[in-house]
Amino acid sequence: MTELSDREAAHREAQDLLPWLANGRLDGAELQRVQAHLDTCATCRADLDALYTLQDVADLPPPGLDVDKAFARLLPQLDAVAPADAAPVIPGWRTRLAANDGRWLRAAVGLQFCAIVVLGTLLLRPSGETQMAAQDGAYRVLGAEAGADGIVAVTFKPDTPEHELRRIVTASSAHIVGGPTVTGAWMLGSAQAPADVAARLRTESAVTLAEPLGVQAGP
Amino acid sequence: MERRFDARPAAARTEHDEAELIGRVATGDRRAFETLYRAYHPRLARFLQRMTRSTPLIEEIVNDTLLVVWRKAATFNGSSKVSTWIFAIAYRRACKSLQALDEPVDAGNDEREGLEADRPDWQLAQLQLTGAVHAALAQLPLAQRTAFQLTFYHDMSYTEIAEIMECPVNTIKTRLFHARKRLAVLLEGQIEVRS
Repeated sequence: MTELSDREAAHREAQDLLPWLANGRLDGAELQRVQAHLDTCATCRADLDALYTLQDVADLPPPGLDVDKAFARLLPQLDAVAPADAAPVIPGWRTRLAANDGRWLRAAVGLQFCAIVVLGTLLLRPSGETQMAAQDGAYRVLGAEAGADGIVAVTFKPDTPEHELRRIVTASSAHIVGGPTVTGAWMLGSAQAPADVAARLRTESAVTLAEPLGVQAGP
Repeated sequence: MERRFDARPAAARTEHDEAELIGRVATGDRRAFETLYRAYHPRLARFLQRMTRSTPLIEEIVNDTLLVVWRKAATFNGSSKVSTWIFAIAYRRACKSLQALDEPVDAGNDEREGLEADRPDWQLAQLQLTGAVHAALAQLPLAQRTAFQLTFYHDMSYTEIAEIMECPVNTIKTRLFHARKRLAVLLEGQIEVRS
């Protein structure tokens, strides 16, 4: 009785899903169950063949449509409604995020690795110098000890291209020593006073925040 | 008839490419938009011809749909496939246009019983198979016809169709079941379609 009910349930499920077996859009456990049922059910196999026949009937385009002329008719309307009223998002990034783009994931893993290395270095470094540097204040003048870097935390507008980011960092006589953090901030090191570097960074339109953090002693 | 039910790497690539195209359209890239337009114009036209026979109306709905894509590309959030998003826009606009023209949108009649009584009296046996199938499809209620067409001629999954037609997945399965049942009646003797 139970076996019969199970078989009936499997048959009903297969009947419901045959259209998607025919179009190749069934996968996972459903695909396995339906295929297993097909092995034992001649009725479902016959129905599937009939669906293939239906599927092979061409779905012809309607007569009289010309894609070139239709596009030409649409073109003037594109000027009238530019895609400027879009929400303030980064479509390329969003679509890549949504598609689990491999390149994005590789870049994220790379950045995470860099952040781990930077944090690990900071952790292993003798803490005395850091404390002293912190006690000395956030600023470092040109005469400060050789090899010590002033650190500035900076965030950029999300759509800032990589080449623009590179230009801003170079123009500010700084270099990237860490980041991005979870808040999207980059750590810039510079031989110049952090306050000066931060002030210069703030003049860039792509910079949304620039704050001097202190002095990081060199090796 | 032996067919393979393998994964669809080509489809996945297409989806990835289309998502990139949408990203470029959102920045106002007309070349990307034209590429998308040429890819979707024939697909949408084929889809819409089952909803209306008016070629000018089909072109109007296709252009309206793709104009929405041009304007709203930045709102595409990647939660569905690009094709699902675009077909959903087309389906909504088509329903709206047909309602405005007072053409019948008989979406509520798809669960009818007594199918034998609906069988037309013209001789399907004398038509060629293609003509017969097209004629039989035209006899289906709009909701069944749309679900059938999206499944067999646009290779969509039941979840994608449910999203496009804004209804539960089980409703889509039921529509397909009744569509097959009715086609079995309409095409009896020409093709073995059973319920």
